[in-house]
Amino acid sequence: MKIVGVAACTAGIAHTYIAKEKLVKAAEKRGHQIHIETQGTIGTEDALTDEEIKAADCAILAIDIKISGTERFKDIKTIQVPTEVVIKSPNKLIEKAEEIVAKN
Amino acid sequence: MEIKDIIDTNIMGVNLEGKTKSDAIDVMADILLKAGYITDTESYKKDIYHRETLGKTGIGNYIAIPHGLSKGVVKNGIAIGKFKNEIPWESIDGKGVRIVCLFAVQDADNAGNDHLRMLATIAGKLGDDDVVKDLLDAQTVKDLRNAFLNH
Repeated sequence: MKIVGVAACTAGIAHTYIAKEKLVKAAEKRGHQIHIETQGTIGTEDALTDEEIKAADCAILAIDIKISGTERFKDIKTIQVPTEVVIKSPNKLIEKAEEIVAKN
Repeated sequence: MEIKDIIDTNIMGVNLEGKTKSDAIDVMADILLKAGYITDTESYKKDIYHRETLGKTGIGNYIAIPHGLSKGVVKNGIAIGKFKNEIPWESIDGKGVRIVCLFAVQDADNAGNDHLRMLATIAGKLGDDDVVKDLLDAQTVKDLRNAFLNH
């Protein structure tokens, strides 16, 4: 499936990028396409396009703070968790995303 | 700029001694001070401990990433220390810590996005299990450095 998402942590220095790496590794391992945007101290990087969001089966928001642009995900299935959950159990989270998407 | 430009063995150490988180942060801050990355240890540590109050910096697998923006920092970098003993630390898997990656990040408008982007890249690598394995196996500072450069 196609997954989009955003990672953002409190300080925007470290957890954001670790969470992104964990999500990408876990999703690709299970054969999914994934694109994660980061919102950190250096600003927004790897920004998602509207087309990508439209084509996605679900969105994963790994966030500890309010992020900009949550309204972009209003029309797709969205899972929101703290970065800690992603860093601790990335595989479980991807499995959960698969279940949610399969449910329709 | 590439990762190798910001990974600096002058701010790495192995076989470090410490019993507590406070010992570990003291040892690592001292390494940063001696290498010229920070000038004001007290204000730097205050900013690090402030971040510690906001949430766990133990990311599991015996790795901790204390960090924070600080005016005490004059050069952005990551001190990486491997400790002889497991140090108790607030972590997401309940384990202690053997590897401390202490981020020194300038709190300034001209902090330099290139540097910060590299720090972000290095942080991302800590999300890679292969990098973590190499760090835990490292015997020398060169091994620590290579853990980041080889993956």
